Amino acid sequence: MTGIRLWLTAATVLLASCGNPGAPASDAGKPVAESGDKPKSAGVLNVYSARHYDSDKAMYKAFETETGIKVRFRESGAPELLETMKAEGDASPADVVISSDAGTLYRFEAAGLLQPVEDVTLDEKIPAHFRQKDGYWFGLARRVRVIAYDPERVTPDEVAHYSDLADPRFKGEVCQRSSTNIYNLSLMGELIGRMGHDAAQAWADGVVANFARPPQGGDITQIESIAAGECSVALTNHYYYVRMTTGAPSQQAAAAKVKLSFPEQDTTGTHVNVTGAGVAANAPHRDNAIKFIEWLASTDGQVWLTGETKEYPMIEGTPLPEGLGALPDFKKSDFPLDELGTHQSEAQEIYDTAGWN
Amino acid sequence: MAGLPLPARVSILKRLNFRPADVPAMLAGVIISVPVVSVLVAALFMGGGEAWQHIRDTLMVSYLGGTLGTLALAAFFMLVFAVPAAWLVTMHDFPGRPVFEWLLILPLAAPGYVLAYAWGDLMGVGGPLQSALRDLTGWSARDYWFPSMRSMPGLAFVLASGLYPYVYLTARTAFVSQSICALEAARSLGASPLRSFWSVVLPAARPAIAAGLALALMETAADYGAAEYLGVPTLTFGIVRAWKSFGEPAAAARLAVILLVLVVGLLLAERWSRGRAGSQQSSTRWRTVSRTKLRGLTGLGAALFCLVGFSIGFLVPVSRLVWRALEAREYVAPVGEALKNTLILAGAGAAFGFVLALVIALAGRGKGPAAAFARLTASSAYAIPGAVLALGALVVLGGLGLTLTGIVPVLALAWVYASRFTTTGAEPMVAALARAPASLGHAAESLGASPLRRAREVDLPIALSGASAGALILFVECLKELPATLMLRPFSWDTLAVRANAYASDERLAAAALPALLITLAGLIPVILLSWRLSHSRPGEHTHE
Amino acid sequence: MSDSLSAIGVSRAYHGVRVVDAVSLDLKPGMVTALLGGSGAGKSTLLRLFAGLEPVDEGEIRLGDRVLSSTKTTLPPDKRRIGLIFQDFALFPHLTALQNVAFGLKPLGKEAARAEARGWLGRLGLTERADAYPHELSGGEQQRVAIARALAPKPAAILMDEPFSGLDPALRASVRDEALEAVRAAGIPALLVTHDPVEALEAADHVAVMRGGKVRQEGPAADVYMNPVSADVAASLGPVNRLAAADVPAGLADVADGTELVVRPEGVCLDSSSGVRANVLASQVTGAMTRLVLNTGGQRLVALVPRDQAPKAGEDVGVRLDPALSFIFPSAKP
Repeated sequence: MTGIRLWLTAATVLLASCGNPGAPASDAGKPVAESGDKPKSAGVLNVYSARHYDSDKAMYKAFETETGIKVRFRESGAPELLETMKAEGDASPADVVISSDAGTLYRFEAAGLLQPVEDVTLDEKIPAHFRQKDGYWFGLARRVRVIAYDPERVTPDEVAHYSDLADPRFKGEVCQRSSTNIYNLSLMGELIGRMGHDAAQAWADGVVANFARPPQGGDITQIESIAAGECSVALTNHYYYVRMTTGAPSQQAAAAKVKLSFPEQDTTGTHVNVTGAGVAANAPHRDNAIKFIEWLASTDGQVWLTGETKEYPMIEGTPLPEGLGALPDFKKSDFPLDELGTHQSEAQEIYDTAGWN
Repeated sequence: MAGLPLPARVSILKRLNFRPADVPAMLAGVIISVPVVSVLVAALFMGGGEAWQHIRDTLMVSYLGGTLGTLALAAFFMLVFAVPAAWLVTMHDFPGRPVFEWLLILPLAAPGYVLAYAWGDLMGVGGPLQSALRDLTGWSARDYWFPSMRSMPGLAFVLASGLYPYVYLTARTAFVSQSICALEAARSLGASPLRSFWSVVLPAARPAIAAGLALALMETAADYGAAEYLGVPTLTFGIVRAWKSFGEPAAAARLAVILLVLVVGLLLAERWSRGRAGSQQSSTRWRTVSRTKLRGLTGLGAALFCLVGFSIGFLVPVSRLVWRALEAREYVAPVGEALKNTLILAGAGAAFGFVLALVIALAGRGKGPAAAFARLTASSAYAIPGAVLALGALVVLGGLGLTLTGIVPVLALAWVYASRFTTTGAEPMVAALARAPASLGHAAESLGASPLRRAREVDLPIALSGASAGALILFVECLKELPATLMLRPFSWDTLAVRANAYASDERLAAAALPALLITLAGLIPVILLSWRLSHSRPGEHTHE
Repeated sequence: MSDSLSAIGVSRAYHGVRVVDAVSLDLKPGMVTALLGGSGAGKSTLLRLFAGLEPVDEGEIRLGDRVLSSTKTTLPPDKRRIGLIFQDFALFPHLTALQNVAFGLKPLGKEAARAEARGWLGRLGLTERADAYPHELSGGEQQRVAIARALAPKPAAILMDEPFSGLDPALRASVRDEALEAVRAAGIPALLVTHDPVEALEAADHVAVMRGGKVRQEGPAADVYMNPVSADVAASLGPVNRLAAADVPAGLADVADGTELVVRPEGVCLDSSSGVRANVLASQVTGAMTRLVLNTGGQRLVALVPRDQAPKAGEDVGVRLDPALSFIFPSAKP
C-alpha cells in the first residue's frame, strides 16, 4: 500500500512541477514557461532558438548579467519551432527567433512569424546582403561552404570553383552528404540565383555522376572519407573542419590529411550562410528583443555566439574563435541571403531530379 | 468470476453483461486506443495535402523498401544467431555457459539509436577499425571493401544486434520446456544430435521462436533514431519527417497507416504463434536438463559464438561509447538538465501508465469483455511505433484546439507513453494475480468483504507485489522512447534521448556518448532484473523439491 | 440454536450438462456432513451453490426460512455469512496470520477485531504464530489459520472444499480432528466436500454420496457404509469385489440371475472349514491388515484379513462371506 501511495505522491509532485507555469523564472537558463504570462515588464526576454550549443546558455547568462534582462529560452529543431509558433499564434510568448540558416529564417518570415525592425545600429554594423532588406531578420555569424580536398591527389587550382566538382576529372572522387540537408539546399539556392535553373541542374547532374559512393553521414563524415582515401573532394561547412582540428586525436589526425579550398575567389566569392535572429511578430517584449539582437552584434555577443560553433563573427574586428585564425583570409560571396529561401523548393527539386539522395 | 449476480434492473445492460465495475477498464482501454484510432481517422478523413503527393511520388518506394528490407534482413540476422545460441546455452555445457546464459540478454538494455551511434562511429571510414586497417596495410579507402553501417543492411545489423534477445529468450524457453523428452526419444531412436535438433526440436520450438521474432520485428519497425542516424529511409523515419519538415499531420497519418498494416500483420503472427506454442507445452512440470558436455575445441567454439553475439550487441558498442565519452573528458556534455527532464517526463508517463496498468490488472480478475478489451488494446498499442501514437495525440490536440504549451505537452507525452507501454507494466501484475488462486477472492467474499473491499484489500496488494517490476520497466521504456519525445516534449525540454539524438545528428558523438550511456545504464536495470529472475527460477531446477 | 442450511431441488447446468441435478440436502447445525464423490460428481459445484458463488438454475438454497438463492435472486457471498475453507487454504499472502483472521471481523472495529482474532488463534494453538505470514507457516498451521479465519466472524454455516487433502498424510488425521472439533463446537451446519471415503467415514457425522450430479444416498456415516443402496454407492465408500451372478463360485453365496454380488474385502473371511477353496495369488501387508488377492474358481477376490491370520502366497485356503458386508443388487447392465 505504501508503494502506491508513494507513486501517487511522486506523480502529483511531478505534474505540479511542470504545471506551475506562473513560477517566476528568475535564473537565466530557465526554460520559457508559459504563453499566458506576458507582463510588459522591462526585465524579461523569451528566446526561441534552433541552435543547441551549450555555450548559448552561458551567452544568455552573460546578457542577463550585463543588462538585467532575464532570458528564458526554448531550444528545438527549426521546423518544430516554426510549427509551434504557428500554433501559438497571437498568444506566442516568443520575442526573438534564432536560427542557424538564412533559408530557415526565410521560412519564419514567409509564415508571418517575424516583424520588420528598423535599427540604425544593426543596419550600420551588418552588411546589407547579410540581413533581410526590411529588417525581418539579421545575420549575426557567418559560415562558408567550402571544398575539402586531399592535397596528395588534388591541387588547389583544381578545386577553385564549385563547378569543378562536376568536372569529369573527379569521376568517382566526390563524397557528399544528403541533399535534404539545409546547407546543401542553401548552396543550391545561390547557384540557382547566379547561374539559373538549367545550369544548376547540369551542375547537380555532374556532381552526382562523380559520386564515389551514395550520399551518407554529415560533413565530418565527408572529411573523414577524404582522409581515408575513399574520395578526394567534398563539400563541408568550414567549422566542422575547424572543430576536427581542435577535437579528439583521431579527428585531428584525419583533418591533418585534408585541406580546404575557398571556392570562387576569382569570381563572386565563397558561399556564405548565417546564423541570424529576428523579432517575433507578436513579441511581448519587443524592445528587449531589439536590445538582445544589438547585443549579439556587439563584441561580447559575437564572441559568445561564435566561440563554440567556430563560425566567423559577423562584425569585423571581433576576435576570431580558437582554431579559425589558421584559415586564410578570403573573399566572401555577397549574394543576398534572403533569396536563398525563395529558391529552396526549386533546389530540392533539382537535387531529386539529379538523383542526389 | 462466475456471474456476480445483480438484481435484474436493466435487461439490456444485463444482456450486454454490463457491470459498473467494468467502467474503469473500459475507460483505460479507450484512453489507450484513442491515439492510434485518431491516426486512422486522420488518414481517412483529412486530405493529405501537397506534401502527401510529394511523399507518395518521390519517397514512398524508398520508405517501403527501407522498412521491408530492414525487417527481412534483421529477421535473418536474429534467427541465425539467436536460435543456435539458445540451443547451445540450454542443451550443452561449455566454458562460461552459465555466464553467457544471462550476458546474452544484456543487448536489450541499449536502444537501437544508441547502438547505431556506436556502430556508425566504429565502422565508419574514419573510425578505428578502418583506420587501423589502413595503417596496417598502407591501403587507402578505395583499395578495399568494408561493410557500411550507413546502409539498409547496416541498419538491419544494428537493430538485430540489440533485439535478438527477444528471439533468444523465447527460443530458450521453448527448448527447455518442450523438447527434452522428444529429444531423448529421438536420440534413443538413433538420430544424431544435429538431426534430432532439425527434425524434432526446431519444429516443436518454431511457434515460440516466431512469436519472439515478431516481437523483435515490431521494435525494428518502430525504430526512428537509428534509421535517421544511419540515413536509411524507413516508414517511421518518414512519419516523423512528414510532420517535422512538411508540417503535415495528415500526410504523416497516411504513412502511419501503411506502417500499421505491417505491424498488425506482425501482431497477428505473434498471437497466432503464441497460441500454438501454448498448446504444444506438454507438461507443467519441468525436467532437469542434462546438458551435453562440449569439450576441447568444440566447447571453445561454442563459447566464442556466444561471445561474438554478446560483443556485437553490447560489449563493443558500449565500450566504444565509453571510449568516446572519456576521450572528450575536457568537454563533458552538461546532462543535468536533460536528466531532470527525463526523470520528470518518464516519471509522468510511468505514473499514468501505472495507474492504467493497475486498472487493467484488477479488471482482469473480472474476466468480463471490458477487461479483455482493455488488455488487448494495451498489448496491441505496444506494437505501435511511438511516432504514430504521438501523431495521434497531435491530431487529438489539434481537434481540441490545444497547442503544445504549458502543461499540455507533458500530459500528451505521458498519455502517449502510457498508451504504448502500459502493457509492460500491467503484465507483471496480471501474472501476480494469475498466480494467486481464485479461492482468495472467494475467501474474501465469504468473510463478508464487498467487491470494492475485496479489490482494495486483497487484489490490489497482490497485484502490487508484481508492481515494482512493472513500474520499473514502464519507466525505462518511457525513458528510452525517442520519436514520441521528439514530437511532443515541451519546448526546450530535452531529455537524454533527445540530447543524444541532437548531438549525434550534429556529428558530435563525443558529446552524445554520455547521455547515450546513461540511457543504456538505466536500461540495464530491468534487464538485470530479468536475468536474475531467469537464473533464480530456472525451469529444470524445479524437480528438486 | 442455529438454522439448517438446505438445498431444495437445486440444479445447475453448464452448456446444457446438468452438473448438479435436482439435489436436496439438509445440513444440520452442529453436525459435519461429508459430501463424498469422485471427480466430476458435482460436489464442488453444489458447494459453490451453497456459498452463492454461482446462481441456481432450479430450486432454492435456504438458511432456516430465509431464501439465499432461487431462480430469481442470488444473495452475494459477502452477504451470506457462510464461511468457506479451501483446499489451498486461500490465506491472503500479504497479511499476517492475525490479520488474516481479523479480515472478516471488520465490523467489530480495529481493536476489537484484533483481540477477537487473537482469541481464535489461541483457541487453535497459534498464539505464537500470530505475526507470521502465510509462507512462514507450516501446512498444518495454515490450515488452522484458515479454520480460525472462517469461524471468527461467527458464520451461519461453514463449507469446506477438500480442506485436508493438501496436508502431509502423517499430519492429516490429527489436524482434521482438531479442526472439526472447533467446527462442531461452533454449533453450525458444516459441509465437508471430500473424495476420500476414509475421511468421510472417520470425520463426518453424516455422509451424502454424490454421483452424476445427484445425491444417491445420505445418512449417518455407519448406516451408509453398512447399508448401501447400490453397488456404486458401496464402491464409492471403499473398495469392493463385484461379481456377476454367473461368476459367483458355487457355495459362496446364493445369487439370483440378473443380480450382482458386492463384497467388501473385509467381508471375505478365511475359514478352513469352508468348502469354497481359493488359491492365494498375492499377500501384501498394508498395516494392521493384510491384503490378499485370491483365485477362487477362476474369479479374483480381494480380501482384507488381520495380519496374524494371513497365509502366504501360493497357499490354498477356504473362504466364506460375512453377510453384513456382502450385498446383492440388481445388475447394472442386464
